[in-house]
Amino acid sequence: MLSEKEFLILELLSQGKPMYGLQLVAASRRRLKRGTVYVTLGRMEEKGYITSMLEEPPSKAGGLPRRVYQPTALGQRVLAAWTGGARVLMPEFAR
Amino acid sequence: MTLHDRIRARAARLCSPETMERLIDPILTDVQIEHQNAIAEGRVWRSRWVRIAGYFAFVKVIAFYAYGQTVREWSVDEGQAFARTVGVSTAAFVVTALLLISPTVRSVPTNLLLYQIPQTLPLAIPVGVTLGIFCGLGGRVIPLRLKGAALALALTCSAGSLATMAWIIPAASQGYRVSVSEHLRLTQGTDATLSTGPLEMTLSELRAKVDALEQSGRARAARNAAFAYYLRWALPGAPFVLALFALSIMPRLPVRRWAIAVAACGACLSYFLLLLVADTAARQTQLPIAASVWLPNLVFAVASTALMVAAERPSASAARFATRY
Repeated sequence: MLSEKEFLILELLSQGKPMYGLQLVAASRRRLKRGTVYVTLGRMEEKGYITSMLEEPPSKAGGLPRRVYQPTALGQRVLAAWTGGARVLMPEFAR
Repeated sequence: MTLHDRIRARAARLCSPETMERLIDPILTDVQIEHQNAIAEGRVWRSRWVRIAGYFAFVKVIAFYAYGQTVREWSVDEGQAFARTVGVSTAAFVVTALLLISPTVRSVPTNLLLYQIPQTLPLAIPVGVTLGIFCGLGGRVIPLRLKGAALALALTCSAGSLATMAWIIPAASQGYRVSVSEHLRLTQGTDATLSTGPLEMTLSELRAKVDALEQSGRARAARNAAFAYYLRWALPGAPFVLALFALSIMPRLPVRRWAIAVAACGACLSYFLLLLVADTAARQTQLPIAASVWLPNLVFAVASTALMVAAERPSASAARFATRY
């Protein structure tokens, strides 16, 4: 079972390159909040829907490495199944 | 050591290395980088906003984490009992607040009722917490962590009550007076002079007023103002001491629901009766004001301690049973 936030995060992460927490908040157009996105990301990582890694530290930002997230194969399968199920149950959702 | 490092060091004391890696470090790093980027772009206000919003989000994350860690250890039954406690507390709080505000509904215009609500909160909060704990946890064995959660809930309510009494009530009361004065000016053309009473004063203003009255020799007025001042500190203690009392007396109560409900109402009524006694004592005797105002909290704290100590001792019948067999 995917929560609304988990679905949104998987959808955003499936669009391309790995993203970090605040990037997801910005890309979600305020549907994700700063205070909850990290908790949701941690929970999704525990469930095995996403994986994270430390990106190369940018030199201009004091050398702090950012943690970026990307979907796992399981996460992508769950997203596909969830979207497919929604298409069957709610056709207007797929339009 | 930067603010970022200090916060990280404090969080490291509370959280596991895995939580630090997965939760704390990502948020702190994102905030730090965003802040530095804003400074590098010369956007000073943006950088300040990033820091405030980021650390506010960080506090939320810590709160979510602490709640999750606490609840994770609970059984389903404990979770339901605590949810029931919060639910009954909220319902009792709302009903009490409505009952307290209902006498003013007819005499106060609807748009001004909002200013009156804060005055009901310091009384409605302890009633809500007490009924919630009695009815939510009554008639069952209460594990230590559930007791801890109930006390944490009561402590949070006490903090909320203190904030209400210290800042919200004076501001709302002053807002009400200004609005009524404006209404009178517009409808009847009368200009009302607004003098600030004890209810509209902040804690520091009230303290200064007490000192000024004492110095000018107006002893009775000084005692009245001192009562209002100490009450602002003492009344917020009510949710906590009543919760402590509820948790210590509940093992001695019968399981029947009506008995639990009667005990809950009795505890609240006793507290407020003691407060009335304290009020009378403060006004009609020479007892120190602080002592009389804190009397209800003291009585309930002592009673709770006595009950807890008595519960720790084996009863006489249990001792006889142990020696016989």
